[in-house]
Amino acid sequence: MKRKYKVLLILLALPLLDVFYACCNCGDNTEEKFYTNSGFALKNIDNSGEEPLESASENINKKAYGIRLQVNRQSLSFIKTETYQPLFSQGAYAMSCDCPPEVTYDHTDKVESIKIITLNDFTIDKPANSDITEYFKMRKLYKDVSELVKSLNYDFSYTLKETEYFDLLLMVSPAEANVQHQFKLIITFENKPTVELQTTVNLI
Amino acid sequence: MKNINILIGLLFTIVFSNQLFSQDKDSSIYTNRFQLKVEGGLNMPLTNMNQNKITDYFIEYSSESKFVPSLSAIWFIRKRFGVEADLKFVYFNDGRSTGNNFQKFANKEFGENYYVKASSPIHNNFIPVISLGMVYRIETEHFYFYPKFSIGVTSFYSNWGGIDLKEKNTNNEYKISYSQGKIAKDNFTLTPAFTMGYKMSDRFWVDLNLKTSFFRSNFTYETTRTNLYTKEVEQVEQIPYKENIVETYFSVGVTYVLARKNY
Repeated sequence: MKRKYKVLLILLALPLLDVFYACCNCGDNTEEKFYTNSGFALKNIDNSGEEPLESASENINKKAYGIRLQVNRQSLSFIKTETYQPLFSQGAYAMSCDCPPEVTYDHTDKVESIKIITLNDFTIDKPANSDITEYFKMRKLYKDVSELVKSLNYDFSYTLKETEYFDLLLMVSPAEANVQHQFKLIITFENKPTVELQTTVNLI
Repeated sequence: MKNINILIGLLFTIVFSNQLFSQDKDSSIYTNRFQLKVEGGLNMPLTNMNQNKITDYFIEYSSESKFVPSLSAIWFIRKRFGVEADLKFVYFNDGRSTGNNFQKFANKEFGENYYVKASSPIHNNFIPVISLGMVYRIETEHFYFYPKFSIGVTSFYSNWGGIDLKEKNTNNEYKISYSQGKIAKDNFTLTPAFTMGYKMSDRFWVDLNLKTSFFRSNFTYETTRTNLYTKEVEQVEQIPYKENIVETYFSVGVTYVLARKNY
């Protein structure tokens, strides 16, 4: 007898839940668009001042050096449209609740890793062709470069940020001053060829 | 000018006609039962809460003399004794200048080696001082003297403060935090007071008031310095605010007698 009541209760509760869900004042259609990281550029930055500035100068203070990764994104034409349809009832539009964004931009090319390689001797422990990714930190919160991967695989809501800049600050200075350094930034993708960017600077 | 003369004449007639008529009535000594009063006057701090430290800028409490209004109501329960409720509107309107001074202070302190950005949620604020107390009364036909004593609460905010430091010619950044949160400080306040006045009519009285309020501030700011790269947190200083705060309020009031009774 008790089991019967439980089953009845569940059966009654299901349409009730659907009514609550249908009461959301949300649009019927959501557009799922896609984007690709279409271009990358690497520049030197000088962080001697209050804010880091792109520098065309050959010489930059080794304690205030960083690199700026410019990312260009492009929206793809392919669009997936989803229509929301309640199971039992029509939308009543009686109240508002957390609605999904009407447009989303999802990434198509998935970045797997980012590495920074020194092409010259950097310190005793880091000779030429060593991985010095750990010496660079993202500006402001000093997060690891691996956090940048999340930003490159970010799914946007409403609008796509077509150009974005990421500043990576060199937090461990090279042993010697006034030496020319070359840094190579390698971005590997899951489904795309690797991108390699290079920059040269004289760290004084 | 003519209008002003008419207005003054009218006011004079209203105030004194009441008194003239009352000559024929019973005595007005110890007959008022319930009275309301509006006051305005100078609130002067006699002691200073400030410590001459950077944290002084975060406290929404004015240590300057200000003109403030207040309202009070007295209910006489006996011939000689009454109870009073009082609300004084002390205000802090230095939010903007305090914020600017905080930035200047931070620049002076750290500006040589760092780019400095100071922030604190300090705002202009009302500091209502609510008190309840006892009133003793001595009256003559035209004058009255009320010694009073009340207890109450003085509330104000002590905000957090922060300074972002970007070291010149390096990639290093630091944060100096002055922590208190935005915490309302409710301080138990004692207020002895004295009122003396003149009965202009049965209903309208004017008086002079002298109130001295006392409370003790009791809170401590903690200063920490964080290296945002290494995440090392270093406790720099503790700044206690444990001061006896005394203020006087000298005001002029107008009383309206709402209810009367022969005791």
